[in-house]
This record gives sequence, structure tokens and C-alpha cells, in this order.
Amino acid sequence: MHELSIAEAILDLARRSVPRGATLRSVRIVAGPMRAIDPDCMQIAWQGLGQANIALNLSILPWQMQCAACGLQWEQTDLPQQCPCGSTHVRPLGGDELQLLSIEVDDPEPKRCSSCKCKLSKTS
Amino acid sequence: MQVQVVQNVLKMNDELAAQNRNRLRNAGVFTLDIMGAPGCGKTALIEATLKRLTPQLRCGVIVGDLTTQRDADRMARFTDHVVQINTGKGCHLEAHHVRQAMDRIDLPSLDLLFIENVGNLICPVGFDLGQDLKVGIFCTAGGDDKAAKHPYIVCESSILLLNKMDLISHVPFNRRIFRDDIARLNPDVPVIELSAITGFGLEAWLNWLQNRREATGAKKELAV
Repeated sequence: MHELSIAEAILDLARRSVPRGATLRSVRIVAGPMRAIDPDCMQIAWQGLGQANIALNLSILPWQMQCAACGLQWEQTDLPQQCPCGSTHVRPLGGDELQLLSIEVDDPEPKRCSSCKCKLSKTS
Repeated sequence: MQVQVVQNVLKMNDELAAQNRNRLRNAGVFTLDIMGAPGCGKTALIEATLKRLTPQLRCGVIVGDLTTQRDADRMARFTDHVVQINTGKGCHLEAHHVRQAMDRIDLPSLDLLFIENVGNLICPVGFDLGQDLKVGIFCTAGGDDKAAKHPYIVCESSILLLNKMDLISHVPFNRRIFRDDIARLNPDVPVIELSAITGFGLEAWLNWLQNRREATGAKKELAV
């Protein structure tokens, strides 16, 4: 269940990236297939951190493959054993990506004056 | 409002691992992260290695398990420099575990450090600990399909060991399938067949260890 550690790391990094006063609403993550992240387990781990009000958007990248025989490069969602040319000398390229791409935040609440509660302008 | 971040999720772990690596290299300690499934023979391999290398070489072991001190007790027969880490629910070691364990070891008095990761073929691979090299262990009793099913450990390990060769005639294990899967995923990785129990293949493992340690510029030669 490495998803829990990764979920904790995502939350930590995302919180550090939130502008002062803003509220974190969602995070966008991309993971390579090598990481063996199960999306369902990841959502359960995320919920386990008590972050139901923050959406976790996870994209799993496809395998990037290269054939040593013909040089073909292609993408496939499951790890292929064979190149379309028939060669079995195929190997994955990269695949261990794990990045926080972006976060969505609610803008900070504008300051209100203490007497009439009107919104203060940025310069006030 | 969207805020672009584009940062490695495990940045904190990687930064701690880099600090660990600096400390270990400054102390002249060659460090291996030993990874493999539960029961594949990680502890037995380290025991067999310690048996051959100590006391000529000063070896330390950091042992990761969810619970119990049993592996540390086994290692303590060969070296005084043993730290057991109990991760509780954690299925792998992270750099902060190793940093805490390193604080309990006199690093300058060591030549070699083995970090026995928690038994798991998946999670430990993605977490840098500050080691020089990662070692992946499979075993014949585990089946010949484990390399194909666990590409990350095959691709990230500097060496793969096939342990329990003494059992190969008793279990259904096709070496050709196993080796072909590895060659497909990582054609450059060396594979050594051995038995930590009988000592078969141990020389090749110790020679690899010696060569790689020398290649890192560690402080003295192994007397294997």
C-alpha cells in the first residue's frame, strides 16, 4: 500500500504550494506506470487522510516502449511483451514519473472592514 | 484559481536521501538497499555475506520490518552494528527511517552498510534511501513470473539475485522464462543465481560487491 505514503507526500507538497490565505480544492497528479499506483487504492488512501473536500485527479501514463530490433517507439496501457514487428526485444522507457502538476485553490477571502463589513479594496 | 506546481511528489524524501548519501559517502561507507518479497532470502543473504566479510570488513545492517526484532537478532551474531526499524504499518523504508537509524550507528567505523528493506517487491523501489546501489532478490520458490510482474524492481536494481537455487529441482521454475523477462525489461542488469543457504553462487555475488565498491572509490578493498 505505497499509495498511502504517496498520498501523504502529495498533500504535504500541495499544502506548501497554496498561496497565503487560499484554500486547497484539488490536486492534479501524473504517475508513470512503473510506480504501480492503483487509482482506487489511491483514492482510498486520499480519503484516509481526511481530505474529502479536496479532489485528487490522478492520471496514469501509458507505457512508453521501444523495440531494440526495429527502433519503433509506441505507447500502450498494459506492458507489452512484443513489438508489432514480432521482436520480443522491447523495453520500457522511463515510466517512473510521479509529479504534482498543479493545484486548484479558492481565492483568498477579501478583507472586510471591522465596522461595516464592506469589502476593502486591495489598496486599503 | 489554478496554480502550476510541477514538482516531484517525493521531493522531500529525495532531499533527505541525498543528505543520507552525502553522510555515507563522507564516512566512506558503501551502502546497498536489499529489496525483495517476504521470504525470498534477504536476511539469509545478508547473513551469508556477513559471515564471509566480517571481521575483515566492518559491516553494519539496518533492518526494516513491520514488527519484531528477529532479523536484528540474527544479524547481531555477525556484527554489533545493527539497527532494527519497525515501520508499524509502513510497507517500505523511507529516507527518514534510514536517517534515524544512521544516527544510532558510528558510520566512520564502517566499511559496508546493508539496508534490508521491508519484504515487498513494489513499494521499496520508488523510495530513494541514500544507498549507493539497489539489489533486487527473487527466489526460485516464488515462481518464474515474478520479474515480468514486477518491472519496476527489475528496471531500478543494479543487480538481480535469484536465490534458493538449491530448491530449483523441487519447484516449477523455468530459468529461461525468468531470464528472458529480465533481458527484455533491463538488458544491462547482471543476474546471479545463488543459494544463501548452501553458498552456491556466493563468490559471484561477493565479487560483484567488491567490484562495485571499488568503482565508488570506497576506502579499502574487500578481503573476500
